[in-house]
Amino acid sequence: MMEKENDFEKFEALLQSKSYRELTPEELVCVNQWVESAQEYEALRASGKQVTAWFNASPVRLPSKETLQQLKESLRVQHQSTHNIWYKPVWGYAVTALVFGVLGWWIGQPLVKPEPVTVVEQVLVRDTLYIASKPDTIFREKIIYRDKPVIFTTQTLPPENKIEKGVSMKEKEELDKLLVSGSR
Amino acid sequence: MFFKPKLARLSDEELMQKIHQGSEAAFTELYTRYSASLLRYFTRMLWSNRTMAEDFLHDLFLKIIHNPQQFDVNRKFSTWAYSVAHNMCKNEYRKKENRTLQDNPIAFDQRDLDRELDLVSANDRLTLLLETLNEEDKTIFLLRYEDELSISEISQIVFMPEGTVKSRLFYLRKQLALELNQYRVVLKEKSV
Repeated sequence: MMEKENDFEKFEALLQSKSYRELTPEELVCVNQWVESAQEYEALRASGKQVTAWFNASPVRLPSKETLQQLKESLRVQHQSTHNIWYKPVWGYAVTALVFGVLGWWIGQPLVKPEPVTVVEQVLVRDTLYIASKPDTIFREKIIYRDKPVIFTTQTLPPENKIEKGVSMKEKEELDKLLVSGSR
Repeated sequence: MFFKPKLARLSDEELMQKIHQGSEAAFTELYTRYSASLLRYFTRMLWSNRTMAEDFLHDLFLKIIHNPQQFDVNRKFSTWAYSVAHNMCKNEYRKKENRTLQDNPIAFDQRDLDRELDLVSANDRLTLLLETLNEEDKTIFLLRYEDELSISEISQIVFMPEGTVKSRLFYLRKQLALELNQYRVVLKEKSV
């Protein structure tokens, strides 16, 4: 059965090309697996020719051009998102060159030092306040009136023996009092 | 002749990758390669309804546009495209079957149709014979004898073992030969 199946294509080819009388003994072995008589073989052969003639006699016209146009439009819509410049080589190359150009220019730029940023911060400074202590000594000015003897001379007297006159005890005592009270 | 356009040299699978990226030129190339054969397939499958066939073709290519990721690059594009087309037709047949059952619950009598067919020309008879085939048989038959796909490809499209495809094809050819022979006999009888 398997052999028979394998020979089917050969059998079909023989049907197309040779009549029963033209078959070689070897081919007859193959053919006889499928048909029982020469009449059957010829009937199959004739019907095959008729079918071929029928196919040729009733060709199917080509599809209309509108169908292709509609389909192309659908394809355009479908690939609208992907149908960008990257799919057009020239534009793709141009954009790539531009990108690399800009990138090269940017890399070649001299490095600019960044300006120092001044940040104003409010720092709380704690200062020390010295409060002066109350002075314990107050100096007060006191006017002391003292009599000073004024001697008016009209004539020059002959020098006499000048008697040294000191401070009496009473006067010294008063003077000490004054000094003590002034120191307070 | 000597300087083929670049896209024309690309395989279907490579074109699909380009379509995935949104290439209109690749889409046009792929459409040019397959639109005629797919439209022919749809027309034959959909009861020679040209408008419906064009709609189906449009829908199939829309699927390619909207879901290109569904296509497995390791697979052959033609097989994948015909699988999608086959499934679309299958759904349409189911819908029609439901509609027919609702509108006309009486079973379809094949013999009545045969009697009517005797009176039409050979080509028309073939057309009508094809109409009587079920969706799967019709697909197998058309893919093999009109689009000339390999048995392996057909088996992938209809999800059937290769052996089954071969058996079905042989059976279909036999049926066809039988019907056409009968038709010849009828013609001979009429001429006498």
